[in-house]
Parts: sequence; structure tokens; C-alpha cells
Amino acid sequence: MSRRPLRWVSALVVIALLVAGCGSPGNAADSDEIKIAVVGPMTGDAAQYGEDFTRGAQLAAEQINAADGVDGKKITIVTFDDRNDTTEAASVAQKIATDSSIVASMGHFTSSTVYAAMPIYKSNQLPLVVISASDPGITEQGNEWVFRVSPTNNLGAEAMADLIVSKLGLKKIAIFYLNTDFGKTERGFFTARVQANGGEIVLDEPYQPDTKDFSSSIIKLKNAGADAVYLSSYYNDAVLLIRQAKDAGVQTRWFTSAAVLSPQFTEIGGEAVEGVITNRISQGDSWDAVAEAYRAKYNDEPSPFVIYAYSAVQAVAEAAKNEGTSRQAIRDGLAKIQGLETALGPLTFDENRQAVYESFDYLEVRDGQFQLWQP
Amino acid sequence: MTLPVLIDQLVSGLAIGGVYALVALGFALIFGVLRAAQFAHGEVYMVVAFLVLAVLPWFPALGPLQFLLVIVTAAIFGAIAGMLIERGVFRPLADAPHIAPIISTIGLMILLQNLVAYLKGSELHRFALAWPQGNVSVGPASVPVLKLVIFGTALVIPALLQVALTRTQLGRAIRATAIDAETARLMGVNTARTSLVAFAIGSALAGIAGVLVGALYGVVYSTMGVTALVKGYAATIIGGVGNLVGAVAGGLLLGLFEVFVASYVSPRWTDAIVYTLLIVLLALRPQGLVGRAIPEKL
Amino acid sequence: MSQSAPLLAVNDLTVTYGGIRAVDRISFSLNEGELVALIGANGAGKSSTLRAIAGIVPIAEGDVRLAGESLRTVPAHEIPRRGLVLVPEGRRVFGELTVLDNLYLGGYTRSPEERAAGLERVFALFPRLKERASQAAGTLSGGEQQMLAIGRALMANPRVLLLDEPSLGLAPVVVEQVFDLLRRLHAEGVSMLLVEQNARMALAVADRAYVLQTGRIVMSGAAAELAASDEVRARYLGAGRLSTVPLDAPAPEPEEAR
Repeated sequence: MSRRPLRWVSALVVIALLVAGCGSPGNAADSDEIKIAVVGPMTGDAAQYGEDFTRGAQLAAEQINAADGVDGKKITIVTFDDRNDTTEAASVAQKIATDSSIVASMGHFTSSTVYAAMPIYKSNQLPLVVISASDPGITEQGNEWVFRVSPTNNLGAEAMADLIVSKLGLKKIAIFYLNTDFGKTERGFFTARVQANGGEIVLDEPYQPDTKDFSSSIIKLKNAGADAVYLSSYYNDAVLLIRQAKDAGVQTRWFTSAAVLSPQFTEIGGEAVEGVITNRISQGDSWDAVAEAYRAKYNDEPSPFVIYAYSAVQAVAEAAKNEGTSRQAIRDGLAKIQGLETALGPLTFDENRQAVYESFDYLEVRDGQFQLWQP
Repeated sequence: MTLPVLIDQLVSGLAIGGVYALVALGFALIFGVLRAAQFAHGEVYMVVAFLVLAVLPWFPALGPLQFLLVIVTAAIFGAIAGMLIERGVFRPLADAPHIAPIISTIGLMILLQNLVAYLKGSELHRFALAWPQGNVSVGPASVPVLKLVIFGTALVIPALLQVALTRTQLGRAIRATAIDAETARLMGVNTARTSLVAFAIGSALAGIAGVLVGALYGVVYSTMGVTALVKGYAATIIGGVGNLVGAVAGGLLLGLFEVFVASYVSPRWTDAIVYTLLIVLLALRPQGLVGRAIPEKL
Repeated sequence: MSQSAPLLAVNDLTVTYGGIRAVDRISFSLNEGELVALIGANGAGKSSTLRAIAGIVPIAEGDVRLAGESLRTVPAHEIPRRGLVLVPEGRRVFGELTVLDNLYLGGYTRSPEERAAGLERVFALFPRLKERASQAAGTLSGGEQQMLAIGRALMANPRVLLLDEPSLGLAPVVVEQVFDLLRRLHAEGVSMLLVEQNARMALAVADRAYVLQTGRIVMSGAAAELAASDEVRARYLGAGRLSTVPLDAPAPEPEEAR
């Protein structure tokens, strides 16, 4: 009996917290800043991507703020580390979504982490702009709080399959894929398109995250008679795989997912990754200007992730300008964007809030750098 | 499965198994003498790999001689690291409860990992030796020279250690200290010194393993020690805890097993299958595959 | 006996374990060439005395002098170099090492030439060990292990040999062999301090003996006289009881900590 009042008190506290949580988005509208969360792997062996996110977003914020911000309101970037871990992603998302001063979030590097975090943004009514995770399913779930400026991996993978099989006439293909949401879905799109184009998958080899020794997979590759290899990998794995395969005397042509695009790929890969081919979405008119500003500020070559992050901030700023700076207003503003001129080219979200992409550029590693390549 | 493929797989398994063997041997040697698990053993391996990477540009590219120089340097760095850890962490806790050195080496593990990540970043760092490169024919197969050299190194070093442990007075003293330190002292053995030497040798082995794995993968990174510790520990269990010959055999078996599971089952199941079997092994044969019944002193 | 200073002099030696006095201010001596026995019940402090002399347990008070030099602050591993070696209770051979390795370890403090000479001497004394030189020590019988433990100690060519319960756990026939060996070593002039629960046997081989009771020396004298004393007979030689069994007097005080 005596415990019952206590139980009521607890329940009231919980309700109070819920009410406070729901009410919070409104407060931010009065603020004189537009605070955007950038979340991704800021530590660990994918930290390079987190850094790209942060730098791209910072650069966009600085440039917008220098031009008097959004109707005088300054954009502020706050970074969060989800360590590229699904559990951590969910708890960081919770932290971001319950911070009433934040009006938009962008990031979570992989599809797995985005999936873990998505429902939290939805239930807290905070818009999330995805800037790298490439599983098409993310924008096919009807979660109206989730937008994506980066392309889905079916586009890049299918373009690669067209290039390898139809354009270059390489028919026997080996594929290595990271055994995660990212790798498995990309593998699925790539394989289907290779087969549709009349090619043959001669080796279909998954590998676990954090694999450093690819010996047994490479022995299979050595004996598979592949004309070309496609990697659904991030740069770390791709570098190790290619290097170890070359050390083992494997001779073939290497093609990779756009996810390897990072200065680290060529830095660690050295001579081993010379000649490796990948692709990325075609650049918008202002890409070069953004890249130039980036080089000036960071003395480094921007990766596509820098550009995605930059464009995401542009999109949020545009939404805030048109509709207002509350969470709801930014969501609505994003949904209405049509042909916004960004570093990625004209940005339009389709009915699933997925940015529309049509053409791709091909890149080859030459002299230690990704350079444009014509098939 | 064809013969060339089989040879290729064997060589790969023995190369990575050789690395595991060196880690396990060092771990077992330290465990044997100090009766305490050195959880920062993998970090010695990692730190030495980074240190050697730092001094590598100064080494002349002299082919096999450079390789030898790298091994010797790694052994020296490892030995120094080991002595510092023994003096700094284990010696002050000699009379503390058994859990104390375990906790402090786990702390040291975290500290060193974060320190290296802070100083050098948590990304992969390229680690390339000028020698060995290329492939060589072994029967009908063509295999990387590097893997043969790694396997060879992982056989020669334990063999030298075995000779040192059985044929020299210091070696006998180390073994005696491991079996019964008090009685060893009654024989005039300065057991404080033999533990230090054992720790130095064990850590030198870890250092050598660190550069070998760096050369094998082509990269070093701040968390590489974790895998080393886990695999080395698994190899020790397979071989029988405190059994040096068993540690080497356990490492090689583990390496071979991994390669064959990855080849004929799937790489995605390797760790799951290996560790499941390890648990089964622990339940059925706690003394290890190679080991005899655990001596009463353990 | 001897007019000169004793080879080993123990003065007011006290050993404590966590505040409990296992050995309480005892004094005794061992002269060159003598065999002296310490007898007493289980827990009387005999082993603690030997272990303190050998440096394995700390000396709380008092002093131990070997040929006039104090061993009090000498670390255990230095003591064999000074010429004193303990054969520990329970033999403590290194079971996984070969017989030969065990013997080499016994000669750890000596030069390779001295070790070779020592090995010859031990093999002459124990031909059995030579036969089994390459066998793991753990595979030897209990008696052989005791021979190995003594042989191992002799490898150091000690001036003083301490023996802690050499007959413990051995079959009666083997006990006889061990004591024969002690007689032989005594005849060769090895100075020995022997701790034994088998007081009858100990008094039969010793020149002199001290009787310990709860950490104190309660009697001392020539071994033959002690063996004849009524009290020793009653308490330690089991007179009036089943005399075939070497008896321990029931220890009136708690066991010493080990």
C-alpha cells in the first residue's frame, strides 16, 4: 500500500518528461541561430568519414554565415560521435533529438547506423538529412522526417556493372562485399545488373567487418579466372584486399564502390591501388568553387562526403529561409526543394525525399590521386 | 580443390598461424613465469610495430638484411617495452591479489591503444618492407615469398628459444622459476631477474609478431593488438596453458583452421566456428589439444 | 665440541607469521662436520627455522651467522653462493624438467667446470640418477626424487646442508636408504642440519640434537643422551605406544602457518 504513491510520482515524472520533450521543438524557432547536428564516426577506423562530414558542413555554414546567414540567423554546427556503431547511433540520436536547440540532424555514416537512428528522429520530429548511407530502403520506408542528398547504392553499382560488362566487355566478374547492410544491398544490385548485361559472377565472396587478412579469399580469386573484380567496400578493406591480392600475384582489373572515395585510399594504398576505377555522381557547376574553398581552408582534396555534407547544409538553410526555423518548418521546407543549386548540381527531392541523380563520372587512381577517366 | 590451391592455402594458414604462434608463445612464457595474464601483450605487439614503422625510413634497403634488421629491432623494442611493463606494472603488484595485475594490464591496454590513436590517428598506416616481395614456386603452386619467410621466422625463433630454454643455465632458471619459484631461489636463482628476462623475451616475441603481421597485411593500426591478444590467447588454449611447444602448435593450428574454414565454409563464419570449437575444446580438454594434464603447480 | 666459532650460529632467531611467533628466540649452532638434528612435533617451528636460515621467510628478530657472517639481510638466492643450501620439505624437484636439468640447476651458482665435477660426484653417489638423467624428474619414484633433491643440493657443494623432513611420505625401506645416505655424507664430512619428525631415526644418525616445542628449544644435548631421556622417549619416540610407527606428539598449540 505504502508504495503506491511513489509509483504515481514516478509516472507523473515520466509524463512530465515526455511533455517537455514534445514541447521542445517550438522553443528553437525563437532562437537567433540555426543549430544543425553532424553525426558520424568521429573516432575509430572510419573516422576519416566523420571528419569529412564535419569539414563539409563547417565550410558551408561559414560561407552562409559570411553572407549574413539565413535572414540574419547564423548556422551553428555541433558534432556527435556515433563510432559507426548501431547501438551508439541510436543513443546519440536520442541525445540529439531531445536537445531542443537543434533543428536538424545530418549524417550517420552507414545504412545500419541510419536504420538504427531513423525511428528516433521520427518520434522526436527532428529532420534527418542522410549524406552517405546508400541503402535504397532508407528512403522507401515512408519516414517523412528522413531526407537523403547522397545517391543510393543501386545507382552507382548499376552504373559500374554497365561500365564493366557492357562498355569494357569484361564478362567474368568476381565480387567481394562487406557483410553488412551496405555491402549486401550493393552486391545485390551489382550482381543483378551484371547478369542482366550478360556477364557472369565467377566469385561471390563476403567478408566480415574488420577483416585484415584476406588470404583465403584471395586464393579463391587467384583461381576464379576473373576478368574484373568489383569491391563493395570502404577504403580500408578495399586497400587491404587489393594490396594483398597484388602481393599474391593476382592480375586482374579492379573496380570499386564509390564508398572508397577518400584521400586515405590512395595514401595507404600507394602503388597498389594505381589503376583502380570507381565512380561518383556527376558534379554540379559550383562543385569546383566549393572544392577550391575546401583546399584553401584544409589544404586537402575534398571527398564526395565533404560535398554531400556541404550540400545538406545548403538544403537545410534553404528550407529555413523559405519556411522558418522550427523543426517542422525545416522538414516542410526540405520537402519542397526543387532544383536548388547546390555543389552537387540542381537538387530535387523525389516523393520519397530522395535526391534525384542521373549521371555519373568515372574516376581512376593515377599518380596517387583520383582523376577523371573516360571509358 | 586442386593441389596448387591446397598448397596456397596451407602456406597462408601457416603464415598467419606463425604470427599467432609467436604471440601465444610470448603470452605463455610470461604467464608461466609470472602466473598472471598480460592483457597488454597485444599492445606491445602494436606499439613495437608503430615504433619500427617510425624508424623504418632510416633502414638501408638491403633486402634480406633489412628484414633481419627489422626483426632484431622489433625484438629489442619489444624487450624494452616488456621490461618497463614488468618493472612498472607487475613488480609493484607482486604481493597484491591475483586480480590486481589483470586489472592494471587491462588499463595499460586501453591506455596504450588510446595513446597511439591520439598520437598517430586511428586509421590504417601503411607498413611495407622492401623484402620479401614477389612469388616463388612451391611444387605446382606459386606462393608469396613473404608468407614463406614469415612462417620460417615463426619456426626458427621458437626453435632458438627452445634451445636457449633447455641448453643454457639461464633457460633452465627461467623454466625452474615457472615451475616453482621458491625452490628456484633455493638453488641460487634470482627469480626477480629471471621473471624480468622472461618478460623481456616474451615481449620481444610479441614485437617480432607485430612487424611480421604488419608486413603480412601491409598496414598497422592502433587496435591491432586486440586481435593479436584474442588469437594468441586462443592458440594458448588450444596448445594447453603454460605449454610452450603447445602454444606454437596451437598458433599454427589456429591459422590453418581459419584459412580452411574461410575457404571451404565461408569467411563470414570463420570466427564463429573457430570460437565455438574453442569453447567445446575448453569443455572437453581443458589441458589443450597438445598439452598433458595441467601440472599440479598451476 | 669444537673450540673455534661454530660454522652456523643461530642467535635468538624469531620468525613470525602475521603476528604469531612460529619460532621464538631460539639459539643453536652447527660445527664443521657435524650432523645436528632439530626434532619436535608438527608445528613446533622446525621447518620455519630452516626456511628462515635459507632466507625464504624473513627473520623477524635475531641473527643467523654462517662462518661468522650474518645472513640476515642476504636475499635467498645469494645464500647458496655463501655455501648454505636447503633441501626443502616435500622434495620439490622440478617435475617437468629432466633429472639432468634439475642437477644443473642445483649447480646454478657454480662455474661450468665445477658443475661438471659436481655432476660426477652426484652420479657416483646415486648411479640411479645417472641412468635416468634424461627422464623427467616427475616420473621418478618418491625415493628417487628425494635422492635427486639431495643430489641437486650437493651440486652446489655446500658447506652446510639443511634437510627438511627428508623421510616424509616415503616407504620404510626407502627411509632407511635416505638415512644411510645421510650417514655416508656425514662420514664424508658434510655439515648438516636435519629437521625430522621421525625422531628415532634422526637421533640415530645425529651427533647432537635440539628439541623444539611451540617455537622454543626445550631440550638439547648429544643425540644419544636425548634418545635415552625419559621425556624424549615419552613424547617423541613413542615409548609406551605402538613403537613401530614414528610418532608425533599431539601438538598442544595451533599449527604454524605456512
